[in-house]
Amino acid sequence: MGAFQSIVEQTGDMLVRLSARMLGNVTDAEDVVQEAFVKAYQALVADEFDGRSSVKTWLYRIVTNASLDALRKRKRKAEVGDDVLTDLPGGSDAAQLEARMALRELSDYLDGLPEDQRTAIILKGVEGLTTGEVAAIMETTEGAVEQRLVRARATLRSKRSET
Amino acid sequence: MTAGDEQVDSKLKRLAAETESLGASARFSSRVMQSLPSVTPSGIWTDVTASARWLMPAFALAAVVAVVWAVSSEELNTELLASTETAEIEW
Repeated sequence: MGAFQSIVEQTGDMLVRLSARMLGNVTDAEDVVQEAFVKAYQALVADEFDGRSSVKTWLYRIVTNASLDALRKRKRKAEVGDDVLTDLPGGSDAAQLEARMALRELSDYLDGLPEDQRTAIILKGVEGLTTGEVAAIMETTEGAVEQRLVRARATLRSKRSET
Repeated sequence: MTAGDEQVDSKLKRLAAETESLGASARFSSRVMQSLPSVTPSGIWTDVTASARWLMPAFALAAVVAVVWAVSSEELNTELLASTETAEIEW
């Protein structure tokens, strides 16, 4: 339990940030990451973590999938993006406000991308992971990741030229 | 990579930098730890005792049957012994 607490403390910020970048909302991201940690804990206790990937990659994968599930649920409820700026727990200072405005800009910028392209571009272009790490998280090949990145960039370029 | 791609990447890098200060709230870790399900330690002995717990009623029933059988066969033995003693007297 103590070792797991140390994992939560070391990776919590990083995973909430990842989920927030995918969802455009920190409050929802905390809920998603909390659920993801519970799943990870249950998997560790049941000895289901096979150690083929690093703990970081494994947690990234769990949080990415949980965030995608949350996005799908939210799309079904048609609530996308409207609550970003009301999501300000303890974020009254200028830096936090600026960060949340940037989160909204990111969410709007990536809006409309298919979820596999959106995931690839967030992991590679925003999180700064290598193509190999992105492939491991998305459980696909590096070639498939590159293809998704090319398509995502093409869509984002055309979006830019439209505006 | 085209100039357009570089513009896309530089915009993503800017947004990454501007959102870098985001993270979990102060009480997030304790909230996560409180939400974890309580898990009993696992191992071969805990598994054996846990399985044995389900077999206890069957063992208890088997013990009762064994006692009844032992008592009834004791009575039968006594009867047999009595008849043997009689036979011995006859011999």
